[in-house]
Amino acid sequence: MFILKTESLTKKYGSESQPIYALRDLNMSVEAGEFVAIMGPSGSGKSTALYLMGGLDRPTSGHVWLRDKDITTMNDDALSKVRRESIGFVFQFFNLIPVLTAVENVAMPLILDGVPRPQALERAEAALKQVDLANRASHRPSELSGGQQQRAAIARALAAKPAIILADEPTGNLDSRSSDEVVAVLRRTVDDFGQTLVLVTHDPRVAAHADRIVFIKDGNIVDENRLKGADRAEQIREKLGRVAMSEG
Amino acid sequence: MSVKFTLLALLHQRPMHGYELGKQFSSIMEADWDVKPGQIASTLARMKDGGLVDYEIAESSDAPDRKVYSITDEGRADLELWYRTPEVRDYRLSDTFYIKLVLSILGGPVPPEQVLSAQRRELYQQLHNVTEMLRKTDARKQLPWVLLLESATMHLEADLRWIEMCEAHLPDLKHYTPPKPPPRQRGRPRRHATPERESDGALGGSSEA
Repeated sequence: MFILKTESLTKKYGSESQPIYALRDLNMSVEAGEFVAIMGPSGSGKSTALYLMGGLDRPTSGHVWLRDKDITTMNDDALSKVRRESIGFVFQFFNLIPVLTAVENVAMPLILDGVPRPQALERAEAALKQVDLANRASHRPSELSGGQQQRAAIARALAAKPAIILADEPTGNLDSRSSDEVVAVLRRTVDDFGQTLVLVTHDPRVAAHADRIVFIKDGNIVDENRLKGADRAEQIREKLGRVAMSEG
Repeated sequence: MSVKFTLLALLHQRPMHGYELGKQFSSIMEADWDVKPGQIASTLARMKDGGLVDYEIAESSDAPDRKVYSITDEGRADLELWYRTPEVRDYRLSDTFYIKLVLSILGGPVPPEQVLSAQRRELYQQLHNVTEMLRKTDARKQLPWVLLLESATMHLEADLRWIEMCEAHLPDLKHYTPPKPPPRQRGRPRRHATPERESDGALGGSSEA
């Protein structure tokens, strides 16, 4: 069963006589509990695809179905409600509010959405726990490493219990170690909590965590890779040979 | 992987009998690196003949007498030389995928785009597998294994970058024509020809054939 589906999704810029297609007839669907990575060269339309899926931008034509609702035909109010309730966003820059602590940052969207403060904070704490950041709840962003800030941003996206999380280059601003840490947290939300996740990246190391990689070029899918599970991993282990590990 | 130097390295730590060496061998090589007891015994025998190891008979009341092996000075020198000699990696200048790609560019039933895509899918599958293994490994307990997995990751990343590079160059590559092979020598080799020329002529197949 799909959580999100695009139908001939098209985004066109420029004039009628010289149109530039950022996205052209994109058809893809994301299953419940699936982790999909979208890859492609810069300007391929991968971020545009993500923004249209999340209702942050409107397509020129085509549809985005979030479960049984077509978000492309909604008015602005209905769309912003769907975005708040059902879609979690994670961006390259963490967009945390500097004067608030981690837990306050995570609780903020819930409070704005009318959840009473104590419950909002409680849910925020649970979300921080989910990203292994419970012990940093009362720290301000400036007191957190880049990886920790991004994990707080992931917790903020998780707190609303969204149907899907859309992440745009979530590791683009991080060193490789923090990047590993962030993507491992994202993977865990899928494995342990059944979260559905779409992530745009240009980093093969990040994409390798996904269940499926979709390659986009010139506004459309050029290839797709369904990654098989663990039994093949053992074969690779065989191929790699064994490590010499001295017991001293 | 060299059985000889692994055994020398183990004996450098302390003298051991054959059975103990076999056990150490497996545990150090992570899980079950397949070395047969016979292989260890024959390697030890060869090293004894070569003066790299020596043994003493350890008498035992409740078990058969055992040969306890130790490393000799000569063995130690050999081992040290092995450690100090860098390993040469094959940089795959005769890579089969490269050949496949070039042939597909020259024309064939499958266009180079698809050849590249198929290769990329496989590389991502491998990267996915290694990533899964890394995720399941505790770096604090199995750091050497983690480092080997990191090495595999980095090589796969490099291969993927190279695929991307080839893809970016595909439009230009399609205009590529291979250099013509040098013209074949015809007729008898010339009398005063240089030795190189003579051999060229002979290889080129003469009218005598």
